[in-house]
Amino acid sequence: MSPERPNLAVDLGPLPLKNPVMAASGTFGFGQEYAEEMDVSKLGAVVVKGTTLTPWPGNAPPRIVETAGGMLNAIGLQNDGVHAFIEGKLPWLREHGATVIVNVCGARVQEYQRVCEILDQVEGVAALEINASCPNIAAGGMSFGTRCPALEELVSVCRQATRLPMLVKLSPNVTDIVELGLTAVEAGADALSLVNTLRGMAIDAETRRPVLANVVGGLSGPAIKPVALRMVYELRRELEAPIVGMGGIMIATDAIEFLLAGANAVGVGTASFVNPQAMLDIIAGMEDYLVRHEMTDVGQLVGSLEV
Amino acid sequence: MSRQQLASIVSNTPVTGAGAGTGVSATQPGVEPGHFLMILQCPEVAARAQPGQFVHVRCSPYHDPLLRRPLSVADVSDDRTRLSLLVREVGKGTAILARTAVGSALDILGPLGRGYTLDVGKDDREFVLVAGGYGVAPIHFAARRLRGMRGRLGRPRLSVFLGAATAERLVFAGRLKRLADDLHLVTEDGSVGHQGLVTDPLARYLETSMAHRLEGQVARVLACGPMGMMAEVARLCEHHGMPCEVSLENWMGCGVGACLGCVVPARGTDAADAFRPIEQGRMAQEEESVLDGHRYLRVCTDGPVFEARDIAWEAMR
Repeated sequence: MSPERPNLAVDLGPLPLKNPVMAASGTFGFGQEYAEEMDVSKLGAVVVKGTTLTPWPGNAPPRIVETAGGMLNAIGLQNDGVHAFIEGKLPWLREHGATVIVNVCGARVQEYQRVCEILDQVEGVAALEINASCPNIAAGGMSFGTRCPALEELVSVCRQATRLPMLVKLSPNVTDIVELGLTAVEAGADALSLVNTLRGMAIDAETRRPVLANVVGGLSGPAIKPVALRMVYELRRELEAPIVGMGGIMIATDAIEFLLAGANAVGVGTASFVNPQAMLDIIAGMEDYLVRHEMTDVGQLVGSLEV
Repeated sequence: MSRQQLASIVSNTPVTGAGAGTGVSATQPGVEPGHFLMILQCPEVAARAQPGQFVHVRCSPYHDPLLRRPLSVADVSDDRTRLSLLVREVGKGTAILARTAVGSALDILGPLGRGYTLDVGKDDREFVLVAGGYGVAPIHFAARRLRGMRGRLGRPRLSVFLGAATAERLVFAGRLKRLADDLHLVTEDGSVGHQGLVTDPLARYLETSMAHRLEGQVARVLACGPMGMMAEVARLCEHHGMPCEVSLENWMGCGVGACLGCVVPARGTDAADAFRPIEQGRMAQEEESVLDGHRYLRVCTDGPVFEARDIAWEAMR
C-alpha cells in the first residue's frame, strides 16, 4: 500500500509550477550543461542565465573564489544576448519539457524593455525574472534594485513590455527589503525572487591584492542563508504576493525553512555546483517531509512558522 | 549515464619526489605538505577518461569546504577500472582528501573537459611532453597512452621535460623514466638534474631539434604546469612554429560549463569581433553593444586542454 503522495504543485500568481523547486539564475546555465545528471522536466522551473539585449563578454578573471561556507562570484553577466538564447538555447529546453523562466538584465531601462518585448513574442518562455540585483556589473542590475524610484521605473516599464508572468529578483544589499518589495509589487511584479548575492570581497594577504579581478563580488552558499531567511520572513509579514526564496539552500531542510518563513517556492543555486542532483534530492526530501508531518499539500507549509 | 559517481578509495599514499632518500617524508610534522597519490575504483569514470581530462571531487559530505576540487586524471589502470589522482596538499580541501581513508567512498564528477590530442599522424616521429610540479599528472597519463600508440613511422619518440622547485616536489620522475625515451629533470634549486627552469633545457632542445632534424618531426608539444611555465612553453612553440597544447588550472564552480567562473581570456578575437558577425543586421536598430575587451573561454569545458595559440597569455593574471 503506497500512501497518497502530497501535492507539490504551486502557483506563483499567474505562473503554475509542478513543484516549488527552481534552478536559480546563473547557476544552472541553460539546463543542457547538466543534461547527463538531470531531467530538467522534473524541476519546478529553470531560471536561465541572465540575458541581455546584446552579447556581454563578462568580467576579467579571476571570477570566483571559495570563502568560509560560501563562494564569491563576479561573472559580470557574460551571455550571448537574447537572440542567441532564443535560437541556440531555448529549443533544447523546450524539447526536454523544462518550464523556462528567463532572467532579464541590462545596463539601461530601455534594454530591459527590449528584451522583455522580444521574449514576449517567443513560444516556450513561461515567465520573466527581472534582474534588479546583479552586484557585478558597472551599470544596471543592482543599481535598479536598491532605490525605490529606480526600481519602480524599471518594473513599470517591463510590465508594459510583456504579458508574461513577471518576477522581480531583489538584492539583499539594502537597508529595508520591505519597501523595495512593496514597490516592485505595486509597479507590477507578479512575484518576488529573493535574495541575489550579498556583496563581499576576498583579499590575498601575501600578494596584498583582492582575489577577484572585479575586486568585489557576490557571496552565495550556506553562509548567506540566515540573511536570506530573515528577508523572506520580513517581506512575508508585509506582503501577499508570491515569494521565491533563495540563498544558501543546499538540502531539503533548507528549502523547507524558506517555505516556513513565507516563501511559496525556492531557488537552488550554488548547491548544484556541489551536488548536480541537489534539486532532485530537495524535491524528494520535501515530499518525505510532508508525508512525515502528515501534510497533503506543500502550500500548507508556506508562512506556517510559529513565532 | 550521470557523470556523478561514487568511487571507492583503493589506496591513498604520500608520493615522494626524486629526492627520496634525503630524509624527509611528506607526512612528518613540520615538513612541507606533500603530494598524495589516490587510486580510485570507478569503472564508470575510468573507462571514459582521456589524458588531460579531470574529475571534480567533493572533499567532504558537509559544506565546508563548499566547492569541489578539479583534479587531473594521472593514470588509468590497464583494465580501465581504476583511476589515479595526484593531489598536492595546498589547502583545506586537499588536506581533507589526503587524509581520507582507504575504503571510503568519494563523490566524483567526471571525466570532464577536453583532453590532449593524442592521435599519431603518419609523419609523426616525436611528442615532446613538458611538466612542472604537480602538472605532471596529465603528462604522465598522456605518456602512458602514447607509449601504446604507433603511426606509420612506428612508435613515436617521447621526450619528457620534468621540472619542480625542489627534488621533493619532482614527483613521478621514476615513472616517467620508464616511459620516456629521453627524460630531462630540472629543479630550481639544482638538487636534482639541471638547475633552473624546465623551459631552459626545453628551449635548447627545440632549437636543436629545429636546426638539425627533419621539419615536422615533432608532432606536438604537450604541457602542464604553473601559468608562467606554460606561457613560456607557448612562446617557445610559437617561435618554432610547433603545435602546442597546454592544460590549464583554475578555480571552478560547476565544472560543467554552467557558471562561467573558470574562464581565461582568448586570443585573436576580442569579444566585439567574435559577436559582431552574429549580430549584424539583426542588431542594426538595437542599442549599441557594450562589448569591449576579451572573449573568454571556460577552462572546464572549452579546456582544460587548449591550443596554446588560443590563449591570451599576456592578459593572464
